[in-house]
Amino acid sequence: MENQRRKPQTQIGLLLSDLEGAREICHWVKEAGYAAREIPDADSEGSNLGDCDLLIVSFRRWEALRGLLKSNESKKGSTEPSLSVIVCCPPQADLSHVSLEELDQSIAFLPSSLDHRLLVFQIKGLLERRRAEQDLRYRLREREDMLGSISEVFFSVDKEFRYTFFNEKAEKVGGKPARELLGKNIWDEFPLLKNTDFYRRMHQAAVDRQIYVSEYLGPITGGWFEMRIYPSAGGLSALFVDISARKKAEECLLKTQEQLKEAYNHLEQAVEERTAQLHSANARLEELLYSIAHDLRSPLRGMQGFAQAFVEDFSAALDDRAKEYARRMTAAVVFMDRMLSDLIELGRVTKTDVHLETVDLAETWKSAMAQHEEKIRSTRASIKVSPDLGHATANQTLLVQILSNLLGNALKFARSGCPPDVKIWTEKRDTRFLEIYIEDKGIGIDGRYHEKVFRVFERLHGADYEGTGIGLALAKKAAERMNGQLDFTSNPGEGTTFCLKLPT
Amino acid sequence: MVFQRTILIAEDEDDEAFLFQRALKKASIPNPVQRVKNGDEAIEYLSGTGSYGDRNLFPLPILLLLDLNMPKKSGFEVLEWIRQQPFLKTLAVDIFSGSGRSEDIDRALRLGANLYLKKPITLHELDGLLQGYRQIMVCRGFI
Repeated sequence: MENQRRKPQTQIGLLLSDLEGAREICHWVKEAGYAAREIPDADSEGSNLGDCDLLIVSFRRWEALRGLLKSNESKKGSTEPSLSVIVCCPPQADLSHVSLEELDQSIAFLPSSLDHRLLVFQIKGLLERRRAEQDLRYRLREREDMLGSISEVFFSVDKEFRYTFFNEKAEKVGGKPARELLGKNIWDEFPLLKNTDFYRRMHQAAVDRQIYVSEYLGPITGGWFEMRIYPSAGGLSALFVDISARKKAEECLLKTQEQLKEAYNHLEQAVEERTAQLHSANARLEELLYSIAHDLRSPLRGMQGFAQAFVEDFSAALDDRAKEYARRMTAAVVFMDRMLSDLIELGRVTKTDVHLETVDLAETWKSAMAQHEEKIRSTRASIKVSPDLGHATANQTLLVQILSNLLGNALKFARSGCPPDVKIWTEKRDTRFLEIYIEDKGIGIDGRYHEKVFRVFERLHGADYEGTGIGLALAKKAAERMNGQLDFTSNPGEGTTFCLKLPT
Repeated sequence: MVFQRTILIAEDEDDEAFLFQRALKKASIPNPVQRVKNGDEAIEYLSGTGSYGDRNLFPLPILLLLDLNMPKKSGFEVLEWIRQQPFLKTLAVDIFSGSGRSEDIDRALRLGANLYLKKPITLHELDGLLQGYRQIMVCRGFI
């Protein structure tokens, strides 16, 4: 049954001149997996010839079988008596696929003295080659079918750039049928392709036998392709995958990116301009603040001056009440002048460049204390200074300003009847910061006003305590100018602890 | 021409000029006082041009009390001009300004001001200041 299964598509008949070796040959042929049948001399019918790969008959039966094999009569060797072997094809064989010339030359004209075994091998090799050819033909046809039907442009050319294959899609894109193109030169048929990237790479691949893959703007359709060029033994093949859609998407994306970038640059520029405008507006405002504060002082001097001159020059005509009114005018002017001074100071702290250096805290505290000497003495305040205050990275002037402000507040907001009790010390909980604490046992600050106390002109205690409402705003601003922070904790009725945090 | 030891005051505010002149008298500074209202007038007065051509009416001062913030030419500009005039080589220029800004003080002194006085806010303080200033005037030989 095995021989049935392996039966090739096309039959080959073998005739031997004598039967001496025929049996042996038959055996070899069968062992090689082919269906072989010995036709006995007696069989004049030659029935079922078409079932076999090989037909073995005696030469003596040649004449008898001529009728059956009449299609092969014309073969050169068939009537040649000196030949011991004749190979021919039965009428059913598809001769278009068999190279009979080759068969004739290699086998059909072998002399009779040749060893039978060798002969069989040759036949076997021939059959296998035939079968391989058949398979290859089949696979090639399959591949051609496949390449023919794929939706991408595919074609092959030989070494002279003549078309050997041209698929359906290529026909569609090229606008010419394959049957017209096969065998013709690609550059003659499509002169548009000359001197394109494709043209250069085809020539390059023909020389260096490398595979080339690149993106390519096809001149025929104007679309983008991924071009692949494959060298083969017979020439070159080219596959063009349409990537127009991807390319379009990419271009779209690129365009969007550019638009985004442009928009971003616009925004950046707008922000820069805006910032510059704000800076200059800020600078103008500060300048305005200074000049307003400065200019307001002149009429203030006038008001106070005339009030005083009034009392002095008309003293005799004025009673005590009139003199008291004039005194109050002076007091109001003096207070307003202090507010203006503080405002100018705040503007200065905001504006001037801050130079940081290593500052001895004990010395700085002494400077701050000196500004309140009188008050400390008059209130009999207790001031405890930690012996190891150490050093801080700060601006001496600003730091004195802050400490003086905080000390001033501590002295001012003492509980009535108790002398102020102030403590100052430092802590270094974090290597990045130095914390300076100033604690008082004063009236404290209600938690509700936590945010308010640092605002300009905010005064929590009204007329009971003097002040312009700028001091803490100034202190906080000064702390910020040194990259520090100013904050406090407080229990109303028990006291307040301010903490100045400075980077080390 | 009699050597009158005139003081020229350059001050734009009438009230301030009035109170200042009153305070000068109160501080027993007896020198005759002339007043101009801005920088341009100060220069005209000093150079004896325009309406200040008559040196009998407007004698060359020995001292200029100069405000910095004035309309037209500022005190700085006047000071700068004065220090370029050879004939004003001996003129003493004292700044009397409301500004306490260190940059203003520095600039005025660099430009050749002899003294920088900051205007106090109350007349009382001004009286005190001028008492001290009188001593300086005496030392300079202006009184």
